Amino acid sequence: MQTRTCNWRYALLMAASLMALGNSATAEEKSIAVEPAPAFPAFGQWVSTFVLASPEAPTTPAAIETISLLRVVPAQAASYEPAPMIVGMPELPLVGDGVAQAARNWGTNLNYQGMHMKLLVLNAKGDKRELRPMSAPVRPGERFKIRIASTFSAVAAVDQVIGDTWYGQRAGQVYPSAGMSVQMNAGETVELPLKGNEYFVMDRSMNQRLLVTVRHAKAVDDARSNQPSYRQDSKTGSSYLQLVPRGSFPALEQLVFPAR
Amino acid sequence: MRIQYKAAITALALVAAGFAHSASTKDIVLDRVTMPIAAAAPGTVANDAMAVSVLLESPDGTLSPRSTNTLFHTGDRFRVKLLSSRDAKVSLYNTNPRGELSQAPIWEGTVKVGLETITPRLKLEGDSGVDLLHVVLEPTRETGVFSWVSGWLGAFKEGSNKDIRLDVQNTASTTYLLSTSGEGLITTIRIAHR
Repeated sequence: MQTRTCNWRYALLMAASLMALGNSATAEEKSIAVEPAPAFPAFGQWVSTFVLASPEAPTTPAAIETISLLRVVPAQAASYEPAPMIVGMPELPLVGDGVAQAARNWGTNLNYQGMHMKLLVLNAKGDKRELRPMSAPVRPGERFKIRIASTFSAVAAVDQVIGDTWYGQRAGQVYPSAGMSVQMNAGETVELPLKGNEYFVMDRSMNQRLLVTVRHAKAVDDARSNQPSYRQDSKTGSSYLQLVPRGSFPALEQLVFPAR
Repeated sequence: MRIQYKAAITALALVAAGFAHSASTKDIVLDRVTMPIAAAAPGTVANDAMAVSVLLESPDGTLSPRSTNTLFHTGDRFRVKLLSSRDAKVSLYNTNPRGELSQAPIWEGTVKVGLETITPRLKLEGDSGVDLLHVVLEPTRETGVFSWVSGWLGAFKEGSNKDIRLDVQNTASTTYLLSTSGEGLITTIRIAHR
């Protein structure tokens, strides 16, 4: 019986040794190839390094102003269909030069580029701000800002979309004024509207929603990444990742819906 | 001596079990679509791997991934997302509720290794029965894709799919397919009409 026990142990030891050999061989092959990493955990580290997490109270609540949204739809309003955005995790890993340093320096050679976005919603008194993810709707009349940070240098703008839920119409840019955009550096946190005392407000009229676009300045027409974006929501913000094929540039979009 | 043999066999069995556990169809497919074999050895048959998700669209514009064995319904708006182990042509064929397979694909596109392909927004309407939408990773051939598709579907319908060896794993969000008998893969989405 004792001999048998020893041999079971011997078998387990042999098995463990063989498994260890197999695993070390696999690990070596992978590290030599492209050092892949799960994309969202790596981006989460970047977010915790770069993105402001505090809501910060407004300094002059008495002087708060709201951005007026367009009330008139242009006769030739372009039809709108949302760019593909998947709520979930991508299956392809993060690869490229500098994966290990991505938390501090998210380079342009990585296959994914990302963005963090959240709502800063002002309370009725105008003296406190609440952080919400982009999955949370905004109640009509609530005043809010949109806080953005991206891994790439970007331009941002806010358009208005109205009409049918599935096939809306783009009714024009509401912030900044048409033909302008807000420039952002990689890793810089920006709040839209830019002026500290300015806020957006939405109502239910015309089935209104806002479309926030954050893209690389060169992401125009065929140079926009044709890949879907992925979104992960936490209690206080939303993270986005998009695969960016060589020769193209990241372009991310998010709709802001009023609560129904 | 006999006991030592038993120990060695047990060790090998444990190792095999360990590798079998760590190399599910999902794992193999993800390895293949992430880091595909650059070039198959001369004379070997290339086996395909593909990951497919049906992206169900919500009114807020977001897409929720589902495996292809989820039952969809009339009016659902969805897109299909594909990842493949090789650059290939991909297409969608429809079998209507009367059982008729469309002669031409209802959508055609290409997929590139390391990138995702997403179809346009799709919506199937109907009064009764079930529409089938076949997601096809086409074999590398210039012609005869329709007959290859109908042959594949016919083989599975009649339960005589001896020539098609296929490993499939469904998770809540994705269907992973691995051919063990050459090029080309098909998975089918069902849309039930009320």
